[in-house]
Amino acid sequence: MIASNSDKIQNHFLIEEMENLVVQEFVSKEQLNEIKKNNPATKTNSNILIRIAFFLLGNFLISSICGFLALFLSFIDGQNGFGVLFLLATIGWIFATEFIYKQNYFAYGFDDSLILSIPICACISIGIFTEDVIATLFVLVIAASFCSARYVHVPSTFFAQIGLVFLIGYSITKKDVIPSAYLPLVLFLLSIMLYFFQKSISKNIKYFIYKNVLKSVKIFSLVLGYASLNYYAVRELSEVLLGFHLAPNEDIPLASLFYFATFAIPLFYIFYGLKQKDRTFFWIGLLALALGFATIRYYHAILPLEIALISGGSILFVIVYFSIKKIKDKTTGVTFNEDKNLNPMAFDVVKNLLININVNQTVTTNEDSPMEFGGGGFSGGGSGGNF
Amino acid sequence: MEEIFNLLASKKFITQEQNNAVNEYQKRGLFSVRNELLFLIYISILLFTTGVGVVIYDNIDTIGHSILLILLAITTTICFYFCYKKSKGFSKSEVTFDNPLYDYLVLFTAILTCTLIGYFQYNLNFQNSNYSIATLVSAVVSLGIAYFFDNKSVLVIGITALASFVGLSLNVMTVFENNIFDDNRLIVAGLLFGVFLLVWQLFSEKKSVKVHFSFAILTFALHLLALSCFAGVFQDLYWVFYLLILACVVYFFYKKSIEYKAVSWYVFSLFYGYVGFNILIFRILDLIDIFQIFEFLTILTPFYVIGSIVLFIKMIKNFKKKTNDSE
Repeated sequence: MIASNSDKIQNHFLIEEMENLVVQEFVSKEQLNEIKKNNPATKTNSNILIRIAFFLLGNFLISSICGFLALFLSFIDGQNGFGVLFLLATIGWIFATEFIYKQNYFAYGFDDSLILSIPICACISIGIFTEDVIATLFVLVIAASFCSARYVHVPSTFFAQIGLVFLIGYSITKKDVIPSAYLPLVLFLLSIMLYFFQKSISKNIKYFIYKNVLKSVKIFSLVLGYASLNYYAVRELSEVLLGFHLAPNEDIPLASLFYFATFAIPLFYIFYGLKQKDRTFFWIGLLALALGFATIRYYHAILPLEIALISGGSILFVIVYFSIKKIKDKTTGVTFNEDKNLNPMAFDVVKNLLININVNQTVTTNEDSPMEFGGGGFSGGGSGGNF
Repeated sequence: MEEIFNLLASKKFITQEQNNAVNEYQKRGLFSVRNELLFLIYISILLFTTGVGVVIYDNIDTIGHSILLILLAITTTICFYFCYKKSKGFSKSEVTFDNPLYDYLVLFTAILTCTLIGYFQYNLNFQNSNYSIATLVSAVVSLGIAYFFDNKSVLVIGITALASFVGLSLNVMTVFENNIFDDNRLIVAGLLFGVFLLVWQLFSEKKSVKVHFSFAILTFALHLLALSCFAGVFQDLYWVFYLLILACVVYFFYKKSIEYKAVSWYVFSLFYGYVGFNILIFRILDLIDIFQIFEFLTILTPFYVIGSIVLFIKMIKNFKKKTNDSE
């Protein structure tokens, strides 16, 4: 099913692995350059900024082409007419994407916008024809999965999974396939299924080129697994979707299970991640744990804010300080040594953003004050109303 | 993981010996949690300082200002003492602490010092509370700390505080709310401050003082200058003038990005340049006022966009080539 350029995609990923090895000083730079010369890879933008910029340009391109064609096709009218237009657009984008794909553009930026336009146009078209939510979502899942399989496309994978979740959610809450209270459990099962699905595929080296696609499935399944059982998500969504109205002393069904899961799942993720040396688990676990604390605070604000902040900060500091002390001198397993493979850049960016937001608040409030104090006194001095 | 390296070996990307070496290394099962732990430390400091801030704000009437001031001063002094004791002294080049935790202590100290200065002024009501003096002092102190202890986060604080002194609030949030510049005076202030940053960077490069700070300083300068220009372009009177400045800025950073091999500057200067160019085209179309050919223009747009995509691909290739050449 995959065209000949799957080899080139594979080369692209293999060269990425080689670059890691160069950083780790297993392989010399000359060897890498030699390989780069002999093995043609895809045209790819590894830098996310460039990719986003090209994605924006691709969107301009798509909308301008649509506008251009709409000028000529303005004689087509009526509801079904629009459906036909979007169906034609879908076919057109498939051809355009194939063309770009054959030109060896892979994850370059504007190919992303072309690929994404396929499921979107297909959805709109089917939506206009059938006016049925389930059919539309179904088409979204099918089309997006097709794109991610055919073009090894990560964002499409994401859309396919979102579509799947919405499909299940809609058919349970609105069509009552099974009692709505089971929705969280069904979604949790779905996340487990997705996780094991990607795990079984990624074992096979034949599907090496899908490693990013599979990784996105993994991230999505972990996030979904937590979100489906998080107390806040379950409670708020059951109020919005199922129309629960909770009296002050009432609680949602199975509340203790959800309370338990709010903390058990993150802790499981963190420990599993450390044990299996799996960074995805570890990070999502840390994030989920933070969300867990936020959830509890939202419903049971036992401590006043400042005490919670101070004690939380100190406890976190102590825990981290002692963990650093403990693992500082280890040379195997979990360590505190720098990993040359990892780029701490992302953390730096987040840190600087946090600093920027936090600091400026204090400074700007300082800045506002002179207006209140100084302004009134001086401005009216000479030409006040009294004269 | 092992299969990947076997695949590499089977495709003759790496030799069998290299494969064995890599596998041997993998067996040690290294898993570095350094970045994560340092990040958590950072979060804990932010939580703690925010908490202290809230406490001070809430209890300002009951505790009494002088006690709080003294407490703050004592804490700050202790922190300063530890930072100073562990530091290797000032050096023009990059210096690091042996233990990365001290970088965070420096950050904590800087935040505390700024709080102390602001609070001091608020409490003692200097010259009818003209807070710009406090901001300036905070900025100078932060920059001093940043340069002495070689800390980039504090440098960011210093630059933002200095900008606040000029009257700009350089906050990521305000950029998104699009209200940094609401009057002409501020636009000029932004441009001047941007130029000041450029001069600062040039000066420190000449004297080779903390050259590794250049990246942060220039990034501030790029975005500040470009956004000031855009704010200026939307004014009716002098838009041509601001577009000219924008062109200079874009060209300057185009050169700088190749010099520094900074893809992000390159992309942003291309982006700002492209937006500026489009604004110019729209302004001209607006001026000559030919509504008759608008349909014709709609037909042209796809070609225009395809043309710009091709141009950008060329530019990116050009960048890669130039940076590889200089290696």
